[in-house]
Amino acid sequence: MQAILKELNRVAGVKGSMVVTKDGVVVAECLGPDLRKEVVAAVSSHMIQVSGRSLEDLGRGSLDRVALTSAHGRMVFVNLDVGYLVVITKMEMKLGQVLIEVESAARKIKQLHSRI
Amino acid sequence: MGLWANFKANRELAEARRDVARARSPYSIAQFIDKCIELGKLDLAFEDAERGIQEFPESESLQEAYKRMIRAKCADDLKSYRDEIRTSPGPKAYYRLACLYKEMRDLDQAVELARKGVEDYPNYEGNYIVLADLRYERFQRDLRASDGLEATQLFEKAVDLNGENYRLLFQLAEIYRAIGARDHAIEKVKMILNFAPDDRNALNLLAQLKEAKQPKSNDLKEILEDFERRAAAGNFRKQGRLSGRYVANPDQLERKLPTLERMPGFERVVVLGPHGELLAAHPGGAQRNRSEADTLKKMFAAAIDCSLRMDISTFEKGLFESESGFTYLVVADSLQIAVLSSTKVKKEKLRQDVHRFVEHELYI
Repeated sequence: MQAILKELNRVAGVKGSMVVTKDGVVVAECLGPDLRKEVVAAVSSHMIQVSGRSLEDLGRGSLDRVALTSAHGRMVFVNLDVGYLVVITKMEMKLGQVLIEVESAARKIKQLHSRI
Repeated sequence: MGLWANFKANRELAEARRDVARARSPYSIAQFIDKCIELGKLDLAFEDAERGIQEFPESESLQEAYKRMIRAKCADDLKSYRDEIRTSPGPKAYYRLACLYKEMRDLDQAVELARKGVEDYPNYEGNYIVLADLRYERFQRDLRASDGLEATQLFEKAVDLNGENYRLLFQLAEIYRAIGARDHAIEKVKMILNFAPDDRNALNLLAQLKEAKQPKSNDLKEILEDFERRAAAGNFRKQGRLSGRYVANPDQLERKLPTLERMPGFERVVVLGPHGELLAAHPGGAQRNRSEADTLKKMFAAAIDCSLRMDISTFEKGLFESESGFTYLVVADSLQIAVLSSTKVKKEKLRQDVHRFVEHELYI
């Protein structure tokens, strides 16, 4: 899993990635120098929990994917069943490009998990 | 350009200008700017972009159109500055290219180049100033103490390297004054007066500062944290044109919402005000969407908090995909707009339709 995240981080514009459970337990991480593991895990876990609960309350079923765009970067969360893949990117990466790379990494992680 | 091509271009421009006059919105002005760029009328694009941004400073369409216009206008400079870094790198080469990227609003590249400039040439102040300017810009938008502290530290580093940079000292004094760090501001003004004792602007600023209230603490971190607390309480944020209009007239907003029904797969739209208060919703109106609004308010709060804590600055939009559809959250000039749709609509179409609604329908 670490190798998949490392490969994802080689894509220009990706600042870091992590696989984290809903409760904030870090399964694997590969973060750039500007990102702190505990902060990313805590913030992601909060985001995933609130979004998941809110979508259920709205009657929209379980959360599959979230793509956030902010003034200086993007964040993507993908449900892997065993946890969530969280990716933080710079703004220079176009959203479409981010999603292709993230989905590809998510697929590899899911395949890896199904083999275990 | 030949006579016929020129005539055709002018006719297309006149038509685009009429469209703007019919329904003036950030979206229609951005379309006009794009038309000017396409026809190579960059000076005209520049004029309209400047005017448009002044009129609608919070508009995403105009910011993007401005970026495209500056990129087209600076293409030659970009090439020559890049060549300069390759062939004869130096502190000023990094500074010039970083400034150009900053002007083009390619902030990642600007930061990267200025950082490289600082690493390779730590005794040149220009690259510190670029980094400080960018951080300060973010501080102005997000009003977070950590950004303010980093910006002032970078500016101070530049002052250490060149204590007679008038523009820099004056800017730093103004920043200190804005956040309430009176003594820090006075210190910078006195530095100016050391080498320009008769400077009228500096003398005026000094007189104003001496009359200003003394802060509780002189520690910059504490002053900034206090500033952040007051900002969080809503003491400094200015209401933009869009939120000002619709917070005062939510009924007007509610009448606009049915236009979203044209979007394939549309299910619901809920609009919250700058403090998360429910302004309008459709279908059913605000009253019948109270519980949805409460839930969406929590989602907005989580997304806003997540963006700030992850240091990617202010949250702008987010697409939440779940089993039964899409929940698209957009913040436009402090209005929090949530559009719920089924999966019948393509995600790109959803983004485009909501973008047009926000940047056009809401402004006209």
